Amino acid sequence: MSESPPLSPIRLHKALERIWGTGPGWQRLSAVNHTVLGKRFMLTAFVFFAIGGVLAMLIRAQLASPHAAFVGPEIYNQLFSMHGTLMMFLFAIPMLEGLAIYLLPKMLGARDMAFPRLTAYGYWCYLFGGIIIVASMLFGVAPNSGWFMYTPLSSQPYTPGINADIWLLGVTFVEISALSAAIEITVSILKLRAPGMALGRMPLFAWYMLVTAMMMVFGFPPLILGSILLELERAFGLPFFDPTRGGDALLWQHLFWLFGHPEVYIIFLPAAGALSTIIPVFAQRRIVGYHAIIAAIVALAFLSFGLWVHHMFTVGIPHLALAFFSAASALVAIPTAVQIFAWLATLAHGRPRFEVPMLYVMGFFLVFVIGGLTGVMLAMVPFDQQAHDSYFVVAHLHYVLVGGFVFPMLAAAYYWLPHVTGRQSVHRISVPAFWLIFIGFNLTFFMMHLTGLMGMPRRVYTYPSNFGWDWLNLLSSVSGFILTMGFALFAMDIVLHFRFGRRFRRNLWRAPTLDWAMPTRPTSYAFASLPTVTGHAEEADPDTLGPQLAGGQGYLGFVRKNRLETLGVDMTTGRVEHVAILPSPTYLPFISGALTTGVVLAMLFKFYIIALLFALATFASFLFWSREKGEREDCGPIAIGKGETAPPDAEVSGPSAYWAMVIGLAANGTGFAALLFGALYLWLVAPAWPPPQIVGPSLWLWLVLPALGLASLASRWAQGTNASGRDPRLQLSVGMGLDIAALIVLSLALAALPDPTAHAHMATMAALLGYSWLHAALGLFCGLNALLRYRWGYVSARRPLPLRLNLMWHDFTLVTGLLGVALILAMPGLIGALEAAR
Amino acid sequence: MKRARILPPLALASASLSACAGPLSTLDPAGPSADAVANLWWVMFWASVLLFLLVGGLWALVWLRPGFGRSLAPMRWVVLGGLVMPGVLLTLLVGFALYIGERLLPHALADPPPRVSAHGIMWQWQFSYPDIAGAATTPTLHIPAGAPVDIVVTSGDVVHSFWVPRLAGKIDAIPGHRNVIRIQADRPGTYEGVCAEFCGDGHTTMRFRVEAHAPQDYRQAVLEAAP
Amino acid sequence: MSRSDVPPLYLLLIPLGFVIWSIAFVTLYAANAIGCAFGWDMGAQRMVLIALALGFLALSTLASFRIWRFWTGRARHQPAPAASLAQIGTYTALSALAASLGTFVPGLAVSLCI
Repeated sequence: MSESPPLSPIRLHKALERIWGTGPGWQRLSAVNHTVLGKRFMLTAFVFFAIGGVLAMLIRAQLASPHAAFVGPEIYNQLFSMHGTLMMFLFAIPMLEGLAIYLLPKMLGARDMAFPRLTAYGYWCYLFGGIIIVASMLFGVAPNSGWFMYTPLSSQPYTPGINADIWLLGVTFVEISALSAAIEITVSILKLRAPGMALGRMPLFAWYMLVTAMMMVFGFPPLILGSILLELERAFGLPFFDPTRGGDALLWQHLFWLFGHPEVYIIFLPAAGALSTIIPVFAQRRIVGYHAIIAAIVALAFLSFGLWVHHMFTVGIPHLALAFFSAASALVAIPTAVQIFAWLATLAHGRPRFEVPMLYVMGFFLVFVIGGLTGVMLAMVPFDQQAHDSYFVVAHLHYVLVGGFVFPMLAAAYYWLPHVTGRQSVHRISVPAFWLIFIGFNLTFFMMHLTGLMGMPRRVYTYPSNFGWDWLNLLSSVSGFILTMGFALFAMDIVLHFRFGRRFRRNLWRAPTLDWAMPTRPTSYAFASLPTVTGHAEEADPDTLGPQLAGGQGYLGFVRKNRLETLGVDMTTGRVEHVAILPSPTYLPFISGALTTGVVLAMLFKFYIIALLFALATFASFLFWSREKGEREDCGPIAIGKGETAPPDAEVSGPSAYWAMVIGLAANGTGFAALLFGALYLWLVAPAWPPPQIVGPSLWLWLVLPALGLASLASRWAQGTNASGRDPRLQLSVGMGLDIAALIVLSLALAALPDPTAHAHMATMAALLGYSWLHAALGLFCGLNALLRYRWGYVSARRPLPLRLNLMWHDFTLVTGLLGVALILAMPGLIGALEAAR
Repeated sequence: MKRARILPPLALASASLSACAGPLSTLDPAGPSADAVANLWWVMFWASVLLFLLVGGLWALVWLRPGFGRSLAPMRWVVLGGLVMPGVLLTLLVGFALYIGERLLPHALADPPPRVSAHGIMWQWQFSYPDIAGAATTPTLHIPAGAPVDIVVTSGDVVHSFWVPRLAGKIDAIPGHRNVIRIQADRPGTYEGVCAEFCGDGHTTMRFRVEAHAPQDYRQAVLEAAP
Repeated sequence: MSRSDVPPLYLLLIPLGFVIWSIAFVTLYAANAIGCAFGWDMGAQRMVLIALALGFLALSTLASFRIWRFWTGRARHQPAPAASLAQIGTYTALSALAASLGTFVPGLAVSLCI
C-alpha cells in the first residue's frame, strides 16, 4: 500500500475539517461530533441548573418568614420535587457526561468517542426528556411526590394525576440516555486511546470516568426497573408496591436507593477527576499516589453500593443490618480522605501557584470537607434517626453536592474554558463571583444544620413562628439570594469571556496532558494526527507535541476515502489493534430521538397503540443507522502512518461494538437481578402474603425453555455457517422463526397466569415472563439486523460482528429466561416453606 | 442540665448555644433516648470542628508556607491522613454509636413497658391505648412520665414518620408494617411531635402533641382524654 | 486477530477483592433477613452469620495474598500494564479485606431482629 506524501498542516486541516466538521444552519441537527455534543450537553445542563436555581429561589422566598402565603402546598410540593429532579437528573448527570464527552477523546489521544451517533441520540433524548419534565411545570402538573417518589404516595390512589407519570417516564427516558452514555464512555476509554497508552499510563481523569461509567452501568438499572414497575402499577394496576395486594412500599425504597446512593458518588467522582487533573497543574508536580488513588476510587465505587440502606435507617430494619450499612457508610470516608490527602500532598510537595481555578478548588476543599464530616455523622444510626428527613440532611446534601460537584465544576469551567474558546479571561469577575458564591452558600446552608437539629422537617411548605426557626430561615433565604447573585456574575463572566477574552497561543496553564496538544479552540477532529504515548500520559509535553501532530507526524495524519478514522487499541497494553471507522454527520440520531419522544408522550397520555407504533418506528430508524455504516469488502490491514498497518474495526475480534454489547448485557443483567431481588423480597418481607392463588407450572411455561434454547442454537448455527464462509441467511431466518415461536409461547404462558392485578406474586411472575418476552422480541430485531447487514454486504467470514452480537443476545435471553422460569417454578415451594415457618 | 454530669465540657459549650432550645429541638432533650443522641452529636460536633481546622489548616499552610510539608514523604501524607487517622477515628465512632443504638432498641423487658398505638393517616395521627380498657382514640398522645413507653407505629395509607424530637429519634409508619419505638419523657409536661416523612399536601400540618403525665395520674388522664 | 499480551481478564484483578466483599455483604444481609422472617433461633442465626463472615474473610485474605504474590512475582516480568493492574488489585484487595473487617465485625455483635 502506498502512502501519499504528507500534506502541509493547513491542507491537512482543511481536508480533515471537511469530513469531520458539522455544517452550518440546519445541518447542526446532524452533529455527531464529541466537541460539539459535549458543549451542547454542558450548556443544556447549565440551563437546567438555572431553572432549578430559580425554583430554589421560590422555595426560599416561601420559607423566608413563618406563615408565608406566597404559595400553597400544591405548588410548593411541585417546586421542591422539581428542584431535586432537575438538579440530580437534568443538571448533574448530563453535566458530567458532557464534560466526559468533550474531554475524554482529547485526553486519551483519540479523534472522537466510540459511538458518535449514540452520543447524539443520547443528547436528543436528554433534551426532549428534559423539556417534557420542565414543560409539565407550565401546566401545573409537575411531579409532586418528592425527587425520590416514595410509594404509595406516588401510586395511583394518592397521586391520581399525570404528575408522577411525568417523573417516571421522563426520568427513565433521560436515564436510558445516561446509561447509553455510560456504555459509550466505558468502551471509549478501554478501546480508543493513543497507541502506547497502556492502562497504567492513562490520565487519572480517564480512570475516574471509567469507574464512574461502570457505576452507572450497575447503578441505573435498578432505578429504571423500579420506575418501569411503578409505571406498570400506575397504568395497569400491577401491585408491586401496594401493601394491600402483596406489594411493599419498601421495595421501591430499596430499588431507588440502590441507585440513589451510588448516584451521589457518580456525581462526585468525575468532579474529583477534574480536581486530580487541575491540582497537579497548579502544584507543578505530578499527582501523588496515582495507584493509590485508583484503588481508592474503586473502593469508593463498591462501598457506595453497600450503603444504600443508610437512607432507610428509620424504616424498621433490624439493628444488625443497620450496623453493616452504618459501618460501610462510615468506611466510605476513608477512600475520600485518601484522595483529599493525596491532593494536599501534591500541593505540599509541589511549587503551588495560585490562579482562578485554584480559588474554586479551595471552595471545594472547605465546603466538601464539612459535607463529608456531616456525612459521617449521618452514618451513625442513632444520630440519623434524629436528623433524618430534617433540614440537617438538606444542609448536608447541599454541602456534599455543591462542594463535591458544583465547586469543582466551576474550577473546571475556569480551567477548560480557554480550551473551549481559545481565549483567556481578562476581567477578574471570577474573583468576586467566587466570594459571592462561597459566602452566599455557607450563609445559606451552614446554619441550616441547626435548623434541622431544632426539629424542622424537610418538605414543609410553611411553619409557625413558635419553634425558633424564624431567624434561621430568614438568614438562609436572604443568603440564598447572595448565592444567586454569585452565579449570575459567573454566567456574566462566561458571556464576557466569549465576547472579549484575549486569544492565547497554546497550552495556557502549562498542563502536561494531551488535551492541550491541539489547537484551541479545538478542531472537530481534535488531533490532525494521533500521538504515541511512550511515558506516562500525565507527563506529556503538549508544547512540542502539538505542532508535530498538527504537521501530520503522528498516526493517521491523512484523509482516506473520506472516512472518519481513529485508532483502536488493545484494552490493556495500548498497542495498536485496529482502525476504528466512525460515522459522518447524520440526521438519524435526531430522527430516532424524536420518534422515541413520541413513544414517551404517547405513553404519558395513555395512547398505548400509538406508543407501540412509535416504538416500531424507532426500531425501524435504528435499522437505517445500521444501513449507513460498515465495510462492504474484506480489505485486511491498512496503513496507519509511520510505516505501520492495522486492520479495520470490522475485521478484529474485539471492536468497540462487541465490548458495548458485553457491557450493555452487564447493565441489562443487573436490571434482571434487581427484578429477581424484587420477587424474592416481596415473598420474604411484604405484608398480605401468602397470595390468594399461587402460580403453578403450566405447559406453556415448560415450553418457554425449549423455544428460547432453540432460538439460541439457531443463532449459533448461523454464526458457524458464516464463519465457514457460507451464506447464513437461512439459519438466521430459522432463528427469527424460533424467536416468533418463543414470543407465542411466552404470550400463552402470560395468558395462562392468574390475574396479575390481583396480587404482587402474580404481578412479579408476569414481570419475569414479560422480561423474557421483551428480550425475545429484541432478539427478533437482532436477527433482522444481522440478516439485513448480510444483505447489504457488511458481513463476511472475516466481518462476522452482527452475527456474534445476535448470538450474544440470544444466549443472554436464554440464561435470563432459564433463571426466570426456575424462580417461577420454585415459588410455590418457597411460599409453602415460609408459611410453615410462620 | 442532665448532660452536665456526663460530659461537662460539652455541656458548657451547648449551654452557650442556648438558642438551641425549642419545642422541637433535638438539642434540648427531655428523655434518655434523645439525651443519648444529643451527647453523640456534641462528641461528633467537636471532633468535626477539630478535623475541619486540621484540613483547613493544612490547606492554608501549603499555600502560605510552601515546602513546609516536604519533610513528610508524599505517600506518608496519604497513609497517615487518608488511612490511619480516619481509620482510628471511625472505628471508635462506629463502636460508640452502635453501643448507643443498641441501648435505645425496644428490647424485651422483664416488666414490659406500656404500649400505645400511633396510627398515621393523611393527615393526622390517631393514638389508642390497648393496655387501658375503655380508652378512646385520641389526637394527642398521652404517656406516663419517668418510664419507657413502647409506641407501635402503623400507617393507614402512605408512609409517615413519627417524631418527637425532644424524646427520641423518629420511626417510619409504613403501610402493612408495624414498627416499635421506645420513648421516655423524664418528667410530666407537654412535648411537640411532627410527621417527618413527606406525605402529601397536608404533610406540614400533620403535627401532634404529647402529654406526659405523672405515673399515678396516667390511667385517669387517658380515660378522660378528649377523643 | 492476535492475542493480547495482557488479556482483558487482567482488568478483573482490580475489582476482585471488592466483588468478594459485595457478595459477602449481600449474603449476610440476606441471611439476616431470612433468619428473622423464618424465626430462626437467635443463637443459631448468630452462629450462621459468624461462620459466613469468617468464611468470606478467609476468602478475602486468600485473594489478597494471591494478588500480592502475583504483583511481586510474575506480573513484574510481563509487559505493561500487568504490574500496574496487579498493584492496584493488591491495594483494592487489601482495602476490601479491611472493609470486610470494618463492616462485619462490629455488626455481628448487635441485636439480630430488632
